[in-house]
Amino acid sequence: MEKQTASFPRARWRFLRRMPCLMIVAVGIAAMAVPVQAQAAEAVAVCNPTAQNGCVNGILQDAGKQPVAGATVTLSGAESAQTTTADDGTWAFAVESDGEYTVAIDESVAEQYGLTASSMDVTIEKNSFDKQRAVVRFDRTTNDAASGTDMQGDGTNSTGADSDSKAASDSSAAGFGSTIGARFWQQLYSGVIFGLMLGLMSVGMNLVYGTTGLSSFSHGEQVTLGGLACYVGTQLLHWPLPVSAVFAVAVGAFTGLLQNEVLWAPLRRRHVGTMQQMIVTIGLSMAMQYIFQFLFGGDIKGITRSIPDTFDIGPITTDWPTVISALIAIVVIVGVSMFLYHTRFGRATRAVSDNAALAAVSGIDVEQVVRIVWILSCALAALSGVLLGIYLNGISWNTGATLLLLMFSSVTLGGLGTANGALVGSLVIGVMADMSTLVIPDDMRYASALAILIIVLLIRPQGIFGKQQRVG
Amino acid sequence: MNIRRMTTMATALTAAAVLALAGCGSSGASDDKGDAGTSAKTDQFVLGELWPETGSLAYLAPPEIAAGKLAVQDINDAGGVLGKDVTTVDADTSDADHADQNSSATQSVLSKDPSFVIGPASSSVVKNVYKTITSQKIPMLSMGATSTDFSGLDPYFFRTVAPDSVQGAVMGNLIAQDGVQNLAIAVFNDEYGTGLRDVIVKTVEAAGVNVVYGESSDAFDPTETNFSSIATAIKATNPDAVLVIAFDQTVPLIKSLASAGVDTHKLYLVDGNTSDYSGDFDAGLLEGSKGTIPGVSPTDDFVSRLESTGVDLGGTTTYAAETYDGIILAALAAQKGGSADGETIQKNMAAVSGADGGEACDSYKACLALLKDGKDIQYQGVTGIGPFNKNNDPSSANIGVYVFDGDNKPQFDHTQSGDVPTD
Repeated sequence: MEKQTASFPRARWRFLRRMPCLMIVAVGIAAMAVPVQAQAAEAVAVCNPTAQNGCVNGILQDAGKQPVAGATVTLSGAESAQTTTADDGTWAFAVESDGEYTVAIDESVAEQYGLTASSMDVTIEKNSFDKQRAVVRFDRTTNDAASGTDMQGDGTNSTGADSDSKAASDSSAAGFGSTIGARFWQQLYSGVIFGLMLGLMSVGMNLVYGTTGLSSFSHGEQVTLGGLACYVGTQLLHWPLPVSAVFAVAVGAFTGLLQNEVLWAPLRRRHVGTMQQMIVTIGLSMAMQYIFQFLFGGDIKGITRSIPDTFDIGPITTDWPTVISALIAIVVIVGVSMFLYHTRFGRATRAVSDNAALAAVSGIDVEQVVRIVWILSCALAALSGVLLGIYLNGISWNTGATLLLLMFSSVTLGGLGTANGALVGSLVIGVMADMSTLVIPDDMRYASALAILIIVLLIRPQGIFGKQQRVG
Repeated sequence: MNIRRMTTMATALTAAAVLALAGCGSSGASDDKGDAGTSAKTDQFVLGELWPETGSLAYLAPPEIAAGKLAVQDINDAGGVLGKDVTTVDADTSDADHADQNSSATQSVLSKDPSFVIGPASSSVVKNVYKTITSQKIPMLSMGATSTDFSGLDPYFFRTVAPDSVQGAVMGNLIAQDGVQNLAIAVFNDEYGTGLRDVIVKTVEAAGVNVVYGESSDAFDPTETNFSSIATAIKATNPDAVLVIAFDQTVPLIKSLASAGVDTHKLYLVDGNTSDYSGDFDAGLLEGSKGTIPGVSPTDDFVSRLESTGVDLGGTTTYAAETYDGIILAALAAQKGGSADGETIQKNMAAVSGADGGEACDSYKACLALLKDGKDIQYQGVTGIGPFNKNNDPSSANIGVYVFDGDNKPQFDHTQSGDVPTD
């Protein structure tokens, strides 16, 4: 308060001091304006506003965006001139004085091309950004064009505002209905693709949870690591993409082994509780994120530069990298599932998952199982990072972190500790997130996916595939 | 609403709690020091610098840092402020999704008693931090905060960039005169994005352009990574052209649009994303697309001087001129007022920018010589902006219009200049 009252007289004083100066300028402008008034506006090919001239320009085209060439456009008002439209329909007048102008085309031309108006009023003010250039379009698509004249300028803003917004909302409502059909299959498809990639990440996370009881918050960073390793391969070392992808998976697998040996195995040996271990994963997650940012910077890194050619399958537009990524994801997830259910090691893993102590007693090397699970989990995360980086057109230091909650939801939704559950949960979340934008704003789409999670858990607390557990 | 924002928020809250605990012991002491430090006359000009070195705006930091170095070098080469070399203190504010980092960077700079703070560039970050700085009577100047709400925000808040009302009007007319009938807008849900979007929508609709997507509710989250459903939705509305208002999200977004079959030769970009994409896309992808950047196109001379500071500009000079001029203006204000404290600088900012008239000069050295002769000056820097108006906005400004060439680099086309509205 005090500051404002103190500064007010100051500002006023400054204004008073400037008064004579302003008056001189005003007189000068008035003096200059007299000869300017006599000069006609000039028809030019291209007009850009400067301190000396304003612009009245536009493009004459029909409702189908076809340019109308050779039509006469007349400017009247403060200055007057005439021009004909160019081959691309453009026309322009450079005007020197501020004031009201009217732009008109022949009514017969307007009728011939189905234009809604044949004349419009505009206001030019050279020094004001919103009035130094007036763009006149006779092909306006809004429905309130019946009046024909006086469609632009201050009048419309106040009186026409209601009908304007009404027309806009009408058209958007109509567009909304018609685009749902066009978008339905495409968004279902992109939802499934995203779900598959989410599934690939979640399976590994779920395996770790199943065997060690640990919810790994740093799993997102393993995904980022895979994508960034692939970026290093393709963009920095200029390797072909498949080689880079294998490199990325190898890096991921190695970090899994390393983590287990230096971090998780010692923690387990010391009987640190899973809650404490979980806190360690949160710390690890933050540390890894900022190491990535330190090494790679804060911008989004593109794994590939080129944009693949697209093709249509029925109502869906897609490209080969996306299809191949989806196939890889399916094959790998099915492979992991087969591995768990049909190999000796897989059975050992499931045994550890069910009851580690009992598995150890029956002769299973629990540590070895956990080690392999960590390697597998991190390798899967790295692979999903590569596929995700290609599908999302880039990977940045925090991509994995932004997906972490979706992974947790998928796992919880599908059933904690079950491999198939993670896949089904991911598909549900992915499809829900992408399909929900048909009806709700885009930035709320993940909320809808998580709402499904809550509803499912209320009905089936163990998740879709989870085993019912007795409490107490 | 967004679940990822919740994580960020949780992190922010935790961090804030930690900071609060850590700050308990020393906060009283630093307050006393702050009050005493800012009101007292001093001849040591300490420049506080807030750069977005990390986060989604990190690509804007190199030109700002280079401009900061260049300005300090030019000032000190000309004899410094009040005869003493300028010293600097800087910190990384990150982006608005890291609110904890915004405030800790601000605290870190404020702890060094700066005379003046340059930055931050982002409107959202400015909103998070300006009160902390201006309440200590330290003037701050943003080189990139274009939110229309910031006109007259605080007597201690200045900016060398024109508000979005100006750029939006130019961009809106550009879209209209190109004959666009159905416009789709991909905009991120952020102070800057939606503010600029609203101005452009108003302008194009007045000219009869139909906005088919993104008019009001369809904005994406600033941390979004998956743009396929947005691209699908945009393609389904069958637009003639797409306006993209985003920062670093632009690259994956444009790739998604291209994959969905949207014509990438008819894109319109704004100051947040009109930059050199020659390293990101195949040649020719953006050819013919247009962009606007406030300020005049930096001269080759200025760009080469920026490069001489040894900072890798990364292909963009956005906000470099605004940063440079902001620092020079503050230094001149301190020189004119005879003291490098916050209040003196704040009082003299408008005067050295030429609000009261005076002799025109175009470098710190030339202006310093005039000031030493006791003359009123009018600094005309590299941005080509007019003197500060009553809202501490530039009274007049330039908007450059650029067209992308076959190498996906923006090439300067023409400049529009005019007065910045004050109401």
